[in-house]
Amino acid sequence: MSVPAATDRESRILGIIETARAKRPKFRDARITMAHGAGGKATAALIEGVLVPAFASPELDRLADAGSLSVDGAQLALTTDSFVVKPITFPGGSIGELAVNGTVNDLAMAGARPLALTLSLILEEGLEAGVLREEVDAIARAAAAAGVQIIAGDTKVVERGHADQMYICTTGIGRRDPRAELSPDALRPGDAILVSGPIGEHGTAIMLARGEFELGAQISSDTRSLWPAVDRLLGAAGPGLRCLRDATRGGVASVLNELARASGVAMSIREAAVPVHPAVAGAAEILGIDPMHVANEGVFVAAVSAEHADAALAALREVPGGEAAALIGDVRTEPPGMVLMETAFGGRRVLDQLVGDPLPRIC
Amino acid sequence: MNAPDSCHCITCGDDGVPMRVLRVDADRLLALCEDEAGERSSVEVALVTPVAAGDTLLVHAGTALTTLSGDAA
Amino acid sequence: MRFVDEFRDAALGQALASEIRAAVEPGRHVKLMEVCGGHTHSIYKYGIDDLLPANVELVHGPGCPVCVIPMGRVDDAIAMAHEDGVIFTCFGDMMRVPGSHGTLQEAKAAGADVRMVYSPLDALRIAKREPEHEVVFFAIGFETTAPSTALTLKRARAEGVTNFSCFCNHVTIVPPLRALLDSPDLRLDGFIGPGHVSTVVGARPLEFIPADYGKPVVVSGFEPVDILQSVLMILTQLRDGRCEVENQYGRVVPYEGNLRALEVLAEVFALRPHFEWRGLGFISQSGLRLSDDYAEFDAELRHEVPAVRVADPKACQCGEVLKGVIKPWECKVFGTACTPERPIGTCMVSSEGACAAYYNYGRFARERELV
Repeated sequence: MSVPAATDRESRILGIIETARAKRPKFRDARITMAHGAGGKATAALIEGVLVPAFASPELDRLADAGSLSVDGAQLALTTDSFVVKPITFPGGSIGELAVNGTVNDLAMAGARPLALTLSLILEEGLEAGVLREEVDAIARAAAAAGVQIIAGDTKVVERGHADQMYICTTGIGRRDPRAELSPDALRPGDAILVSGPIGEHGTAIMLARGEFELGAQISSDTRSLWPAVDRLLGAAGPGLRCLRDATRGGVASVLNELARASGVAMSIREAAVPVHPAVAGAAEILGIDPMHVANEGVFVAAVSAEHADAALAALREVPGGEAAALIGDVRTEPPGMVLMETAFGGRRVLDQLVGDPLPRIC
Repeated sequence: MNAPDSCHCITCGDDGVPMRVLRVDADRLLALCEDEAGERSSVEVALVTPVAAGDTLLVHAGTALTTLSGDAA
Repeated sequence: MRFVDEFRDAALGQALASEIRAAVEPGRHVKLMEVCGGHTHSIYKYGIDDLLPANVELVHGPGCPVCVIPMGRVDDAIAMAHEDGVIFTCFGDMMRVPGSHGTLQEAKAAGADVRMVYSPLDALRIAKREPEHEVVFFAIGFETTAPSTALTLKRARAEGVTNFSCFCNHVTIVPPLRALLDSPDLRLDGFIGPGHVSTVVGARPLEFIPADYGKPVVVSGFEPVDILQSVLMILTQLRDGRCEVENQYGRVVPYEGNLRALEVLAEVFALRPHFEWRGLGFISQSGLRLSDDYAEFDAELRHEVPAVRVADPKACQCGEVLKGVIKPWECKVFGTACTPERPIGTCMVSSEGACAAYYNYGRFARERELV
């Protein structure tokens, strides 16, 4: 005999909570703390509670990865980003590579072909010239690999003790691809949720680079340009694509929650289907973090209509490095705005966004 | 070991981390140990001494509370 | 393949779930309490509730030593942290516990030198590296953590470190369990015993529960299979009419505990006559202070603190949640005024607190079979 275990009171409280969470978050803190940079709830409160209302543009209200601009019929996408990762070099990459790939990826997630970047360097007094040259070379290589030109730049120097060797700020410009209309509010019940590769590598690599770890299996950042994968995806499943989002700060869990909230839908994710390298899973467990909350720099989530899911998955797997792309769940109606996960052990739990900041200065 | 600023609380979680002994400083009752992620730290072993390199200890807040036997290690 | 994988095996979980369904007396509602934050965390992380029939209910008790620190003590900590020349060290989760005027995290953002450490040894190292600063260590935790503090203080004395002191808020596990069991509004059928506290004190101190209160106890490991096995062992005791302490976590927990740890605790600490537990009120003999022999390391004697007792906010119903009398969602402020981002009370502060765990992992309607 089956009984709904939720009493009336429990259901009512859960409903009240979801209504409150669906509202625009308010920013009530007296000061900025590290939590505001974590990409989780505190960041959302800062962006949606302070910045977006203040700048009041319909474009910003969409909270998309890139802003849209139409110039004489050309549909352009513009994005900006800043990079404060510590340390500036780590297994698998460096701040310069992150800067190029991160910016290119914001454009790719908007369904825009990346064309050009601007680059601002804030350098710390005392930075060794050799270190600077290496970063500059890394930036040039990454830009060439991503097929973008750096067309403008700026340099500033700040006193010793600021800027942790260097900070980088960028702007990216791209051209919207006509093969798809992407929007975070476009998800519908029945849609498939795909992930483009194994998760948790970048954040774990940074984490380990900061400690004094010696690992059997080396974990490297997964930083890469996602445009080739997106290009292929647009070709194979364009009309069925709802939204793409790269899982940077806050990890896959954050992206899923953002999309579920924006579209007013629920998601059901199967933990066993999410690709994670055993080394990453092991390290994350020791460090006390969930890979679903760990930042990635070369993985994105794709919401795709059910009919196009197979074609989309096949396209992702054809891209070098995309062999582990997987279908990890689907979109449902209830409970709206919530992401539920079926654990590998067989029970279920809510997969929420982070509250605090487990990995500061991750990108 | 925990990530910096992690939400997870080692006391509330009553965490115990299995760690393997690499080197023992018997005079100071400290051992250099390594966890499964390869992180190394200095662990108090006064409560479980004598220990030898290769032993597996259950460590909480930097102190070994008990030795783990073969099938638990 | 790590050994722990066999304790997470889904097929084994399903098999245990079947045995549990067979072991429950039909029509009987069984309420089992676990008092260890690690168990709360596992139960939610793996969704273990889903594998139990509806008439086996898991209740989360006061196993969170961070959560039970009263607001006045947090205020004292913040006062010390703001003193000139003080480096205030604590475990991570303590940074988010609200006092009357904010948290240690906020004090840090306002300029206090607050540093997170993973062990008291880390704090002692800071004291040795920075001899011109006074380092205070915020000591929290049950008997699992107290030995670590004790050994660090012994080391500080042996190495002649004088700029180091300890703000002692260690608590012991037996008194709150007794207080819970003495409480008239409590109905429990059994206990899932704490996993790592028992490596220090052993399973023997829990024998008063079957002896004086007639409830079975099973000391449990933290993996999902451990927890299901422990539930099954309790149900089996109930069915067979037995009532005793069993040790499911025998691969780690010695029944007699660690004698040397107990000796070290007796040397460095003394019992306070009573200690305030946030949400539960004053409980006799439940808190530790530094012994007279170690008074020179007592931060409360070396630093000026307000030492004001601050009452819990009126709206807070943490005490009832901690006793398992009400569920998180039955608290009037749950999810509205009290959320993980802005916690009012202890159960929401720590990620292993009953309310935080339910909010973050368990807040969805579920259908379960009634046996």
